[in-house]
Amino acid sequence: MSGQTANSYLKMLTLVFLAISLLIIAFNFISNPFKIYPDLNGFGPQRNADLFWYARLHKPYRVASLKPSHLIAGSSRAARLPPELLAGKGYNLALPGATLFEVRRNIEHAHAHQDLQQIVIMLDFEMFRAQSKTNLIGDDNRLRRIKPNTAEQLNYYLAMAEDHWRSLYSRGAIASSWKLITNQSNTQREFFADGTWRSKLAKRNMRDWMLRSKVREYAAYTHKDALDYSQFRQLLAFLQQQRIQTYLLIAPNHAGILHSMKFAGAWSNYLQWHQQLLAELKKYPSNNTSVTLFGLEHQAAWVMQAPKQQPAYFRDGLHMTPFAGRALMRCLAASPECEPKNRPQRLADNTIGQYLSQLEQNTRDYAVQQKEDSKRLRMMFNESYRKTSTSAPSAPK
Amino acid sequence: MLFNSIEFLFLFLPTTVLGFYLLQRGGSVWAVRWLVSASLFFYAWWHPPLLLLLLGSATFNYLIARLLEKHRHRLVLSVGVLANLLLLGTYKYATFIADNAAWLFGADIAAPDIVLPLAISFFTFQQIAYLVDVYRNYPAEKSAWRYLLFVSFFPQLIAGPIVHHTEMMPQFNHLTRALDAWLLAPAITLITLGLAKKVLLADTLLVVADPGFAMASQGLPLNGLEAITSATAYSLQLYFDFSGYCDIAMGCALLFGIRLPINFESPLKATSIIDFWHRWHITLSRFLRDYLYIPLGGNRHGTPRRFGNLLITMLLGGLWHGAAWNFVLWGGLHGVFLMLNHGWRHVSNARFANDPRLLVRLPSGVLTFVCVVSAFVYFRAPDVATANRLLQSIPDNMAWSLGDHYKKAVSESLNGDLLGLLTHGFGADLFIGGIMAGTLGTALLLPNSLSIISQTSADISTQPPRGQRSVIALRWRSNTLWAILIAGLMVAVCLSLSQVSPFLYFQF
Repeated sequence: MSGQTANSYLKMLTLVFLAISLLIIAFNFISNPFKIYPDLNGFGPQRNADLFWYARLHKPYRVASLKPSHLIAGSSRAARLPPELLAGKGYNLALPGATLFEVRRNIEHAHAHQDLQQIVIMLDFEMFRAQSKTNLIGDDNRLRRIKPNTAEQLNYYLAMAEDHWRSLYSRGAIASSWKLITNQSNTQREFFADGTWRSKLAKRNMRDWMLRSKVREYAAYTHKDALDYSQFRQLLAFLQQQRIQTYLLIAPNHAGILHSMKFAGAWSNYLQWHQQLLAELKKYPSNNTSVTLFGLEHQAAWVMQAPKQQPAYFRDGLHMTPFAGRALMRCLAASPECEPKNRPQRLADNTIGQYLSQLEQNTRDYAVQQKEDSKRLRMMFNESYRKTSTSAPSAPK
Repeated sequence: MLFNSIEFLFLFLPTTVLGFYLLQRGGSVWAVRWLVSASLFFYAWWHPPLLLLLLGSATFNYLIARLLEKHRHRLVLSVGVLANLLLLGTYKYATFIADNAAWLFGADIAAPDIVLPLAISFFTFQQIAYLVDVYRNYPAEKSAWRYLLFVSFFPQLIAGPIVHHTEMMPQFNHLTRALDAWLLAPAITLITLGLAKKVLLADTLLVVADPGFAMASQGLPLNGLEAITSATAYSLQLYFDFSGYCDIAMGCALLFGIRLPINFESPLKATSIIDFWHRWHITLSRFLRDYLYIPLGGNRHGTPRRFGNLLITMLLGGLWHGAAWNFVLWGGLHGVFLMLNHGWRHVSNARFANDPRLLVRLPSGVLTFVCVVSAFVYFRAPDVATANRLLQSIPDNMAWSLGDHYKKAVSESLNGDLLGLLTHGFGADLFIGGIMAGTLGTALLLPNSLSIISQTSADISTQPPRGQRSVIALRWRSNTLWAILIAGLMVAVCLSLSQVSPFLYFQF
């Protein structure tokens, strides 16, 4: 091999490598499978990408480009709250299975791009479970900080570089682009530009799914767990420090779920959680507070809705329908279209007692009114206990 | 820093090469210093405090070697070797010893919480060999920088080859050369082939191999075909992982005009276990032979003693790979295989040892392959019980199709990946079959990358490869077709860099 042929070989190799690489980068940029780049006005696939699994990558970039002043945050249970009903430029930052740490860091990220004026955070019991993850599931470094030190700033840029590499020049990006273009996503959800998403599965399947697994899991097991408030305290401290007007909304459950908590012996834990949330909030001086707590489970129209009644508030007893999300947001935004049956109750020292008794009453009434559902629940619990334990007693009659 | 990471390939390596060629104009001294600095940075990237350990070990051995040169006394050598073994024992085997002592005496001995320093087994062995040779009259290196480069040269620092000072020191004395395209071309090609083996083949095989071991470890029922698939896939994964690493190491060294010894030469083509150990981790075999087997007496004291020495050497070789009983068992199995192999050669007067006929080579090749793959089950399994369970399921529960649980595990691992589209399109059965057939074919029918590339005018290793004939002939040329092929592989490799997995031999 002469030096000349080796030279030509290296030149050709470099040229081909760059050409193929550029083609791949252009392909992924145009398809934009994770929607972290601006849309090219009708150029490229116009289909909705299934961003559910990539929400932690997509949403921080969407926030950075949109710069919203009003936010909705929380887990998937906040995903049906439409942000356009807020008083300013809004975005729904709900993340599937979000932890309180993630909620705080994502709010900080948004606040670092644009001063936030108002936030609605949907609090989910799951977020407080001591055994549930308190660390970020995605890459924390991609979220901007308000006052970063040099290392944090460097990590932020490195994380961004990595995200762009993964979005433009990776096997995963090509696979996602290809699925998007050929419509192979097989997505079960529809994801919207305002950050909300909804299920595309048939309602009947959803209800069966709820009664067979979710109720059992949530009521019988998770609501009995010990709780950890440290991340919540950090979130409150941050919100107070930044003086962002915040509505904390306890994610409502259908009475079917509440009823099953009772079956499982988790009821006192659930009520105590409400009291503790208020107690944590009271640690801040009242003249300085811009954070308020709301609950909705006192509304019989919501929690006691019969299984086949339309329009439905719940998709599966935990997640709201888009109809319910809109109805609730109208009331939170103090719209004249707010109906009293959808109005959440502000929880304070003088209201919490009455709120919890109404919640208790609703759950009791549900058991009486929905005998069929109670019967089914009892059967399911007995079946569940048989499967999971040899010594556990059967569900109470 | 991993060879298959973005920071290594696009920042560290180009900067080091560029700095080397700029500085070496000022003379070999500057080139050596630059390479030492880069190598120390490379090592420190993982866990900076452990750099002190590497530097401490190198300084100690450098001083002992100088002392040995002046006072060729057995005591000095013993102190040097024992100190090295003590260091290795403390960091690598303290937990293992404490755990076993606790089990043996039923005492509550707390296992020390020690981080295993990267590459400690490699640089310790290199330095023990160096001390022994200085004691045997090899001149000690005068320059501390050159000695440090011998210990820390980054292409071979983390997972070998275990270089010998006689093949490296002379090269470090003449490090001045211009940046030549005829050296750069094979070096880049070799690095690309190595990376392709690692990120395209080994990392894909990992997905196929893991479910079987996970199921056996959790006590889930496993059928015979799943066990065979997992065991074979893991053997191929380790093969391409280590082979890929060796190619990258040799390619990187070649960028500086340095040749490393061949460490890996198509071991799955071996037709006997003796042949296998002449092809697998060649530099470790060489070390164990020269500094353990021969000093133990080698084959000089009759057959029983020879077999005993062989078994001890292989048991310690197994333990070198990891402080766990499954590694010892793996080494022991190979020791027994070697004894049987030598015994058979003795009985048959070595009639079939180098028989080129397919009728002889094929059955002996298959038998060797089965022995190697079975032993690797102990190498991979988290414990001996898991390995036994996996192997036992082959005769106990033989089936001719993979179970749904296994296929689902493979498909789910590839979710969101380009390969996931293939499993989705063709089905998991066909995907797994295709991967297994493709990789096995590559390992058995194609020539290895050294044979493909070494046909050029540039020597790429300290000794020429065997140049063994392959079923499919393939020879690299610096032409357009090869440029397109290698560029395509390069793109495929770069696309996979966002899913970085460490090389398996890094843990040893």
